[in-house]
Amino acid sequence: MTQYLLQQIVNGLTLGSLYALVAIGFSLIYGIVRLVNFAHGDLVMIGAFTALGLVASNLLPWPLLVLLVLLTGFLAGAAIERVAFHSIRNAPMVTGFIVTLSVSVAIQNAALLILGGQPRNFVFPALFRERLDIGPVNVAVIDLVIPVVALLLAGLVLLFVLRSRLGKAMRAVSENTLAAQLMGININRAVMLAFGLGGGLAAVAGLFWGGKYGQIDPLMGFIPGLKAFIATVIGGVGSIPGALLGGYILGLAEVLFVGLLPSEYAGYRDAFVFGLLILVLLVKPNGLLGVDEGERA
Amino acid sequence: MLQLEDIELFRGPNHVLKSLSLAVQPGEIVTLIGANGAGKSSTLLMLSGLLPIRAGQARFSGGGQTLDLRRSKPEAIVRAGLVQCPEGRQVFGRLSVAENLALGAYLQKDKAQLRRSLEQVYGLFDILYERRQQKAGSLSGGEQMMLALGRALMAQPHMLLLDEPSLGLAPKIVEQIFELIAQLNQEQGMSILLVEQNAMLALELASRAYVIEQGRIVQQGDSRTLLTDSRIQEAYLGVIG
Repeated sequence: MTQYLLQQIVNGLTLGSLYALVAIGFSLIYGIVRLVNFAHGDLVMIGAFTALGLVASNLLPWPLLVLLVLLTGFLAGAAIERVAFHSIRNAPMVTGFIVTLSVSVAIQNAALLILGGQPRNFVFPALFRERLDIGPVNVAVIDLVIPVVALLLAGLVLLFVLRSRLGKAMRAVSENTLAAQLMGININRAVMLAFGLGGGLAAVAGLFWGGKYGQIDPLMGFIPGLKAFIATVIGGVGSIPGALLGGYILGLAEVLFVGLLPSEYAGYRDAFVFGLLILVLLVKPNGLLGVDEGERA
Repeated sequence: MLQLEDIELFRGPNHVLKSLSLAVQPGEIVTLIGANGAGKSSTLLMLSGLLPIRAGQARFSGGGQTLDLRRSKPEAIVRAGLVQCPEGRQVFGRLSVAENLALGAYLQKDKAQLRRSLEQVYGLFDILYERRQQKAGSLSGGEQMMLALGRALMAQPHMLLLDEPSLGLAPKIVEQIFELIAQLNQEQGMSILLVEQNAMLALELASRAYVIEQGRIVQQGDSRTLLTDSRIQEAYLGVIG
């Protein structure tokens, strides 16, 4: 039983890492433009297909592959901001919401058109599929790589936002756009940077998602997007540590729910996830690590 | 130094500035006084490049260069030395005092210059040095005002735009702030455009003044003359004639 539980915890951490990578982007973007970006999940799909192309060529060492996927996600995220969201920056929240949904539908349909609806097999190199015995637990290499890379990237992004000049500028914009402009901070650049960073992390999540589940398709971004959004809200929208925490809580809770309860409950997985969200919001309306908007002055 | 001619400005459908002309000479303190909604803050936001000018001429010269404000981005305006300390202080409450000050010098990449600016600001405000690690949101109103001023000074301005520095502060703090503004002007020759609702204070500090009503300059001249003007006294100084 302990062995089974440990196994499930490893699975939960892997899934949680993927949610966390996507959730950080939601938080970054919301923090800076107060926009819940429903097209964010589609960056997962873009990352997965980019990775598919790169894996197929079979020439690149994998750290370089991760880097290239990250870069593609960064550029795609920044480009989507520029094309779709730039002009509605000061529009009411509802407009933003509708536009991000439309962008999501547009991206998915463009992908369907170009790539076709047929799911593609996504096979990671044999190295990642090898299984290791660590104590009582038997895990695939990929299940270890995912949390390590996710935490590394999350740590780098956090460090960047807290310490670097541009990161501080991003936080300044997120807190007070007017004052930031009066310091000579270029708002457009800060906003594009947030979308880019979010896009890069989501794309890496897509690469791992494909590697872990073995299949990708143009609509694959919807579920991770939605789950990561829930993780963001659980952790506290606008907080990067909150997004990480929310991602891991959701990943673990979901896996343990399915793994520990009798199998006839497995179908209620999503109901359980939403139930968890409602429960957290009842107790902590701003999420676990969220900042009260009223205190932001 | 600053030259505005026949400026027309709209905010949405509202015509907020109507043929506004105004000038500030180097080393001068000029004040723009007027009631709520007369267009004072809009004027300053426009000068910082945050509101588009519909018509008219707007030029700023500082540090040996001249800038057409109609075609300049906010960052170019700050870089040229026209720096604003906004209404309501607008400090970054979740960032530390030191981080706030560093952001004030965001465009300054010369580390040595940055250190000099920081020393200068800490020299002017001991309290900011004492609280440098503290979150700006935890400071008192007066301390936040000092931080906002210090943050603006970090950009090494040739000309400072001050929007309602007295707003919501105790009289004693206001006195301190105004003394400091006078000191910056006298010792460093910094030009200042001061927007104030407290007309008495503003007129006592400034050498010249403009009175704005509904987007138009209705009166201008020497501060001392305006202080004794019966119409100004009635409308802005609370003297019943």
